[in-house]
This record gives sequence, structure tokens and C-alpha cells, in this order.
Amino acid sequence: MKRIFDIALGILAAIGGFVDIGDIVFNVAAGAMFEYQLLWVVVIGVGAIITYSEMCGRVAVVSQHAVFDAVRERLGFGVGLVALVGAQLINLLTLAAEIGGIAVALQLLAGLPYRVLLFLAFIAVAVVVWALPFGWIERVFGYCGLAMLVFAVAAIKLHPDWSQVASGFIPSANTSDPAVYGYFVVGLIGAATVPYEVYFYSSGAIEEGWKPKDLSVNQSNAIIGYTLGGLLSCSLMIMAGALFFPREITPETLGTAALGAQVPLGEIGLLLALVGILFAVGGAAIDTVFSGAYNMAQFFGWEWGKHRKPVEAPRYTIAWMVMLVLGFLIVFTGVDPIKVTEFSVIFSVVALPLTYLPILLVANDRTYMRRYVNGRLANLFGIGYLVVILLVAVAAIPLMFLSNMGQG
Amino acid sequence: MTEIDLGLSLLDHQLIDSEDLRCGKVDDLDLGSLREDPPTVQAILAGTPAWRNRGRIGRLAASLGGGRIVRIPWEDVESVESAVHLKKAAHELGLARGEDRVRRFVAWIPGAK
Amino acid sequence: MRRLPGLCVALLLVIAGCGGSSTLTGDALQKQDEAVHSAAAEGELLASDVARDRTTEPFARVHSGDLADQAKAVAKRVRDADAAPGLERERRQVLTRATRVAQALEELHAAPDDREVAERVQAELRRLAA
Repeated sequence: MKRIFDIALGILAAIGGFVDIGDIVFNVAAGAMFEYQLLWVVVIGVGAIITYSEMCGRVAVVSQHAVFDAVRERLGFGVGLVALVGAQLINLLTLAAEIGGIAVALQLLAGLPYRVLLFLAFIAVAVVVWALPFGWIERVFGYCGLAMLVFAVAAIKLHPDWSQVASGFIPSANTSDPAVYGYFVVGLIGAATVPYEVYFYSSGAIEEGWKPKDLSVNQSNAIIGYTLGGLLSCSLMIMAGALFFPREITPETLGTAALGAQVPLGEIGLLLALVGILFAVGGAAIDTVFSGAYNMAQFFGWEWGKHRKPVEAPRYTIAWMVMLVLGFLIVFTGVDPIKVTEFSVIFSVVALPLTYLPILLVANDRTYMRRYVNGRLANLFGIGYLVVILLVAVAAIPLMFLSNMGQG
Repeated sequence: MTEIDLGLSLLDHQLIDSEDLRCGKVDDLDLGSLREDPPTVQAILAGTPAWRNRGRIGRLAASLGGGRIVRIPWEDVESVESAVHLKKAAHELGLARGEDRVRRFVAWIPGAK
Repeated sequence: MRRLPGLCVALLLVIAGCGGSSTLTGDALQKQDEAVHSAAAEGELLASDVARDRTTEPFARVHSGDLADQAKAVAKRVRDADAAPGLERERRQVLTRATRVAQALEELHAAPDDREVAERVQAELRRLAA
């Protein structure tokens, strides 16, 4: 009985933690521009993150290697260092966007000045990362992120044409602007598969001390949790498709997303939406901070992790602090967090192959993985998604220009 | 001295000391006499300057960083699995000195210990 | 020759960044008009919720302010630019509409829990969004 309870809690945490600011921005914008036509892309993105999370979770537990260990070992020092620098720059952009998102959510809840709330967000993230144990952080932010489920209720209450919704899961492109359509395909896949998620997931497996015998339980949690989390992304798109698309409303702020829950559900919808956004984006900010520090430590071989006291892993500790300060400074300049989000997602798409290829290589290495090496199914999906990722990575920057960042 | 596929099995692997602490990476190898066939590993080299032999980017990175090369004789290697396990503690071998430099700052913050 | 790729990238960035050049083509004007319409339509939804007391004061205040800023940004862009030949009348229409939308949203922003104001603003924005 306890086991079922634990599994359920794990799934809930995964659902609540699935969505971040990139998912919110791109799914709502995609729904507003293309109604339900891009739902099939969400499925692809979710499939990719499930495939690679499963793989790097398995790699981490069996070989006690997180992603960036594998990057340096498989790609060599030179390419690995380039990958590290690229990953850190993107992490930094993502972090800046997430901190901005926290401040925006707080502002919409409390009405205080934005810059004050940015500083508050920065302090809050620092205190949480410093003081709370790893498991606590994941669970608190995961459970509170479940408030995002209000968007699923909102989507249903807006009475979309469900046959139209269903046909959105079949790829179709009925559009006068293929470049913008392509931009959103790239953005949606990018938002679902942001690298910091796999860096974090694999290091997290080691942080939480998963053993090979825990593997199937933890992987099922992730798979079920991410699938249901994917439904949350779909809800955002369906809500936007039902409410904003017919009125030709183009979302420009997070407030628009929250409005999407308020219109069908009133004040309670608004509050749940804002709380959900706050914790989903807040959790993501924390995950990104951790990822940045994990990457540095794992590349250079430093001691790392929340399972160590800060004095036992001093360079790792300084790394996350510096990362957080830089992220805060970037968004404190007043740059629009939504714009930063779009750039961070598109640039992460370009870096995706360098992230995912080493994972696939290590997962197939029998000397590391022993009997847990990739089976045929894992490789089928792994290689298939790697091809998708390569295509998307190549198309990302050109589409960004051709579509004028989705504006057309 | 065991033969190892040097390219994949040793370089860039995590170093773990006798107390299970992570203490750097295998940045380079001292292969001794290359006239032997196959060459045998005399020592593991760790430290920023050791990147000089790791390609153009390695040279660039080495010039930007400081520190010393630490030479770990092969006799001090306990085992090679996915990480390289060492027979001695990091401090005895001169590893993880960067941590000590930074530790002083971190220790100031309440709750660091 | 080695500088060429860098120059090309720089050029591309400049071109991409210059989305809003100082002369408005028919397409660009249409885009600005769509942006005004978007702010008006969204503002109408917000005003409707304020009128029926279905929202919170901070949210109504902050979000109406953001929407007003959006409309004002369009007004500024359209005002500061020149219209391509033959489009001067359209430019002025868009400018007028953007300014009116901004004004209506500012009214809501100044009185975010006043239901009467919200009803008026809702009606005004419904007209402007049509």
C-alpha cells in the first residue's frame, strides 16, 4: 500500500514539475495562432523527453555517471568543452527567463513592483536551494505545480470542438505562413526537451541515491508523470485555441495565459493558474540553477550535489551561486522575460544533439551498463528521436529569422 | 600493467579517491616509452596545464587557467571501472586543491557545515 | 575571407532586428492593426471579468496596464513611421484605433475594481475590436 502511495506521489511531482516557462509561452502562443493544429508536435516532444529521461536515468543509476560525465568522455575534451560553454550560456538564458517568470507571476498575484519582485525571486531561489534537501524541493514544487491542472479544467469548460481537437493530433499544416508554423514546431519540441531537464534528471537520480532495483519504479513514475504532464501542455494549447484563436488574440505576457483560466472559471481559476505558474516556473528555475552547477562539476570532476554538505563541495556551491547571480542580473536589466524565453528555447534546440548523442552512446556501452544496456526498443526510439532532434536543430535558426521570431 | 583501450577507457574519466571523494578527471596520460607495443600507462596526469595535449581547444583552455599538473603513478590506481579509483586520499596525491581554495569562502555562510 | 561568415551573421541579425523599419508597408500596417485588435479583444475579456467581479484587483490592474502598454507601443510605432505611398489614410486609422484602445485600457487600469467603469470599457473595446 505504501508502495502505491509512493509511486502516486512520484507521479504527481513529475506532473507538477513538467511544465516550465518555455512550455507555457510556446503552447499558449501555438494555440492562439494555429488553434489545435500543433497538438501532434506536443506528442513528439513528450515522447522525446520520455525516451531520453529514461535513458539517462538508467545510465546515471547503473554507471553513476550523469550527463556531463558522459559528454566529456564520449565527445572528448575539446568538443565537450564547447558543449559545456554552450550549455551554460543557454542555461543562463533559461534561468533569467524563469526568474523573470516568477516575478511576473508574483506581480499578477500581489501587484508589487516588478523589479522588487525580481530581487525577491532571486533571494527566494537562493534560500530554497541552500537550505532545503533535494527531495523536499522536488516534492514541494512538484505538488504545488499541480495547480496548473486548472488549465485542463479551463480547456474543458471552454467547450472546444473536440473533433477539431482530435484532428490536431494528426499532423496537418493548414496555414498561410509555413515559416511561422515551422518556428512553432521547433519551439514546441524545444520547450519539451530543454537540456537542463535531462542534466537535472540524471544528476537527481544520483542525488536521491536510486539503486538499480529502484529503476523500474522511478522510470515508471517519470514515464507516467511526463505523459500526464504532456496532457497539461496540450491543455494550454487547447485553452488558447478555444479562447484566443477565435478572437485573434496574440499572447504577449504570462498574464494572458492566466486570463485563459479566469475567463471560464473566474477568480478561483485565476488564482490557481497563477499559483501553478509560480511553482512550475519556480521549480524550473531551481532545476536550472542546479543543472548549471552539475554541468560544471561533472565536466571538471569536482565533488558535487545536495547530498554533500556545501563545505564538501565548495566549487559546485560557488558555481550555482554565480549562476543564480548572473541569471538575476540578466533579467534585472529589464529585458522582457517572454522574449528571453523564446531565445533560450530556440538556442537550446540547436544544442540538443550535443546533449542527447552522448547519452545514447553511453546507454549502448555494455562495459558501463552491463545488462542494463539499451534494448532494441530504447534504441529504436533513441535513434529515431535523435534524427528528429538533428532536423529540428538544423532548422531552428533559419526558421527564427524567416518567421521573424514567430511574428510572421 | 594491463592493456587498456586508452582512448575510451581512461581519458576524461572521473577520479575517485580512497575515501570515495570525486577529485578531478583524467586530463592526460603519461605513456612512458612509445617504443613499446602496446604503450603502457606510467601515470595519470590531472590539472589544467595537462589540457595542453588535448587539441587546440585544450591548449586555449590551459592557457586561460592556472594550477599545477598532478602526476599519479599507475601504482596508486586501485581499479578502473566507469571511474578510476585511487588507492590514496586526494590530499595525499595533491588532488582537489582547487576545492581548498574555494572552501574558505563557502565556510563563511551559515549552514555550510 | 575568414571574416565573411561573421559579417553574414551580423548582417542577418541586423536585418532580423530591423523588423520595424521607418516606412510602413501594407503588410506591416496590417500587422500593427492586428496587434491593436489583439489588445482590444483581450482587454474586452478582462473588462468583462472585472464588470462581473470575477477577478482580483492586482491582476486587473497589472494586466490592463500591460495591455495598455501594448497598444501604446503600436501607437508609437505607427506614429513615428511614414506610410508607404497611398497608405496614409490607413496609417491614421490604425493610429486612432491604437490610441483609443490604449485610453480605454488606461481607464480600466486606473480603476481596476470599479464595475461601472469596467462595463463601459468593455463596450468601448468591443466596438474597437470589431
